[in-house]
Amino acid sequence: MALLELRDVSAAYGAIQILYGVSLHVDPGEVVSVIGPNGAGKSTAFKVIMGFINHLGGEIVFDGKSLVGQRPNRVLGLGLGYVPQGRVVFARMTVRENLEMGAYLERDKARIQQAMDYVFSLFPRLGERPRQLAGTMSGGEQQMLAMGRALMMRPRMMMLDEPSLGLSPRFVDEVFDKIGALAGTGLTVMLVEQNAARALEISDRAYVLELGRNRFEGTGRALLANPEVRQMYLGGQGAAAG
Amino acid sequence: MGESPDDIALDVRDLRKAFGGVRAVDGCSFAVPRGKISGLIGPNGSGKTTTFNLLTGVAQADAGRVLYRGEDIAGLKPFQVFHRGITRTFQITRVFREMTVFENMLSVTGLNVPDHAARARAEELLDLVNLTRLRGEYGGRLSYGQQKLLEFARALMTDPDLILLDEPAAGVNRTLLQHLLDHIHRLQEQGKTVLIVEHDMNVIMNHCERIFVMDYGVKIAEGPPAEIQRDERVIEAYFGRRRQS
Repeated sequence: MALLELRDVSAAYGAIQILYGVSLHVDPGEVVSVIGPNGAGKSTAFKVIMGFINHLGGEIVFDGKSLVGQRPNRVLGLGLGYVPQGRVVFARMTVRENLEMGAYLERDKARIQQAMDYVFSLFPRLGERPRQLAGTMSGGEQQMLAMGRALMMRPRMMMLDEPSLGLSPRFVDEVFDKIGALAGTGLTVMLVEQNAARALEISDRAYVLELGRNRFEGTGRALLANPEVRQMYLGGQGAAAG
Repeated sequence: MGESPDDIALDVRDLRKAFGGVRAVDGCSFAVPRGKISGLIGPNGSGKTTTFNLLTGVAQADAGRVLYRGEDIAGLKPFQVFHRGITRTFQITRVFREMTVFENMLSVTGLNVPDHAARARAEELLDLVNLTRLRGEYGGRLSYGQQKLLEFARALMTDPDLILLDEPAAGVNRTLLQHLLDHIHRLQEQGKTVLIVEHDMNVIMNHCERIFVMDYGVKIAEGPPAEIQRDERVIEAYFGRRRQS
């Protein structure tokens, strides 16, 4: 059974509808990407799952429970971690404080410390400087911190929104390595990426959205090899003409 | 200073701008053809809007030149650029929220136009973008799409020669967008030059004669739509590159 399933989901920012009946699922232990050109609705799909924006219709089920109408803190509590686009770390807080914020639903101090030790084992660079202010870290380090923060609740599944956006090529490699390592621990991962080639490389399966609708789906390998998917990014007409 | 041929409306040469350590525009050169509709595209963060800001005095270039009618306009203030006949719209709209729609239209007429002519022109342009019925509404009460249309109409108040549009399609419904595109073509037929930054590829590919593609702050390709759509470097810039190692 799927760990996360969206059936025919529509969603809007205020009055502007972005998703028109999107369906997708993620099985336990899978890495699944959601790709598509600007305005496809990729990040919106994540936001409606987390309960940040208006849900207009359709079913969203995580681990057998409906997420429709749930608030973000409740969704987190069910074991779905979320790393927002642009990293969004607390710049004036230290590494340790940022991680503690990630565990704000957890009251047991020992469990918080356990989770922090786990995060430090995955991201040794965070463990080396727990007192550094997050705002003074590089973009790549902030991305690691944001991922670490999402892991503090020990989620069953993690959603990453554009993890490589704005990072230098070296950090892009590192972020994708880390995502691969997390998947290797058995964590279920879903990511939205503008760098489609890199995302597909590490994905078991992927969905391609266009203007708020499902357009293609398949294994990462198959979609990488599909010229129609590449051509979509530059408008449809050329594909037919070319 | 360096002359540009007559068929070039705007000649951008080796433009550079860094924000802290980030080189947003990193030696970008392109020549916008006069009297045509051109597009400036590129993935998120490629430097398009920064380039627009450098062309219009909204930001100051660290280096490079922007030649317009034989003059280097890099370094001029926005109003100076504006008075030379260049207008623009913004991705994040900048209408006066506490002025009415009609007052917004008249706010840019610090020029030598008799008042009645300005009013007549404002009426005509508002009609064009279907905002006539909202002429008494405050700018801040318009939807995002309506603010974009107002900004577009306002940009035309001065009868500019060169019009820079930053994401005109975003948030505008399809019917109005078609209307707006029709008008952009009419401007071109009148001899105006239009440069569009836009993410909607259908708008770019169907309406621009020439396309400039930016990635990491530099121009990586230019040409007509059919050529750009098949350019491997452009596809790679949008779709991403597979791991090199």
